[in-house]
Amino acid sequence: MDIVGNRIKAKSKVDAIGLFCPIPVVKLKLELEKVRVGEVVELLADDPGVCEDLPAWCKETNNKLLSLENREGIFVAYVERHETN
Amino acid sequence: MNKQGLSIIFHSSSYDRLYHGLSIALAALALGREVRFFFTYWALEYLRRKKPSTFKLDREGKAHQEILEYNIKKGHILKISELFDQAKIMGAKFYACTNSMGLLNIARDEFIDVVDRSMGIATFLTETSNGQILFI
Repeated sequence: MDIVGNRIKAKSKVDAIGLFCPIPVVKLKLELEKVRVGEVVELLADDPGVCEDLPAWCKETNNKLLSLENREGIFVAYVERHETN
Repeated sequence: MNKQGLSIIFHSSSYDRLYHGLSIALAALALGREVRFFFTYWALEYLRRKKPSTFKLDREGKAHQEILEYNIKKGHILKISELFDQAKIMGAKFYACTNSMGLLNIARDEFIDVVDRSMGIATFLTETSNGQILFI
């Protein structure tokens, strides 16, 4: 994992703004399949469902939720790929 | 980790029911579970190459038609065909009920490409084994 300043450096980004549950998590999973184990994908979403769904999904799939924050209505998350994804 | 499979029997042709069944399926697929669909009766319409309609609603759904159409138009919720493709990419199996095909006079070659095979309910239940089953 690369950290630039206090920011996490993501390998790629998933823009799920405007899409409802469960599509943000589905798109994130498909993107994580494209990166290597240990690399990070950034997720942008505005469906508040991700606040509960993302930690639950990461817990079951063993992917690592590095951060999840609300930036004025847009939820920004960084997830590190685990080998099982 | 619980990797128990999920099987969904689609019966209704109402868009809202199919949509939510597919949403549950996509969440299960994202969690790494096996998912299989069994299309019976009116839901078979969505598998036909020449569909009478891709957006049908039953009485309950019709009461909310405007809000559904608005959200589809805005791209907030996906079309059934898009959800089918997404589920297929993630490994879901699509089965058609042979009994319903006979009843509705639908031949195997009238189906869209996502359909894996047709089978009876007993075969479907043996595939499902001890996994969860939803009837929608």
